[in-house]
Amino acid sequence: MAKLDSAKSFETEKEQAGKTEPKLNGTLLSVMLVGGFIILSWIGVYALYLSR
Amino acid sequence: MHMHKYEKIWLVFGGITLIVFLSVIGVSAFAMGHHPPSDMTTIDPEKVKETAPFDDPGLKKIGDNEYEAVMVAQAFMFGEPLEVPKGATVHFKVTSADVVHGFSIPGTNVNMMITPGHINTITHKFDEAGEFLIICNEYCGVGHQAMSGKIEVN
Repeated sequence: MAKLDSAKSFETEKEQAGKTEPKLNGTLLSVMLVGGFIILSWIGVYALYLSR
Repeated sequence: MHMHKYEKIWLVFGGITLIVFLSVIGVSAFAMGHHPPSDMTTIDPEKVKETAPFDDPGLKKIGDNEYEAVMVAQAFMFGEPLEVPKGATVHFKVTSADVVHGFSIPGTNVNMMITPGHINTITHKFDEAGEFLIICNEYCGVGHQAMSGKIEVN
């Protein structure tokens, strides 16, 4: 029984370790900024193409 | 597979953006007819001057304020200046009698590569009056910088 208990507690620890997520707020912001830049440039080029 | 919530957000965002971009291009190509100026229409580059319509280059009226401009690009000219009324739709049909040339009208979407052996077509509507320049933007030889043409829109 003692063995089982320790195995159980080990798994729980592992699960908990997996659930601690890294903080990616800065990454999300950077990705969205790059995405926004790409979208704006794309719209700009396409609008120029359609207007001339 | 475990994924961070933010990771899902930017993957979906990127995927949707890609789909939107490709759909816009697909619709403009297949529904609105936008396409690259060069197609697979070919011509014998050594017999350009004997092959119709290039045996008689110039501007031809083909409809109501609609023209066909048949032009032969060769070192280092595009032919006689063209004159069209304001609002005219001009279908340019250009080939090269020697080397690769460029055919660009600054300020418009007209910009194509003139490859010997190929007939390149592009259509442009001249909504504004003025003088338009045709320039060669592919280095074609010692006189490249002097290679230009003129379109007068009245």
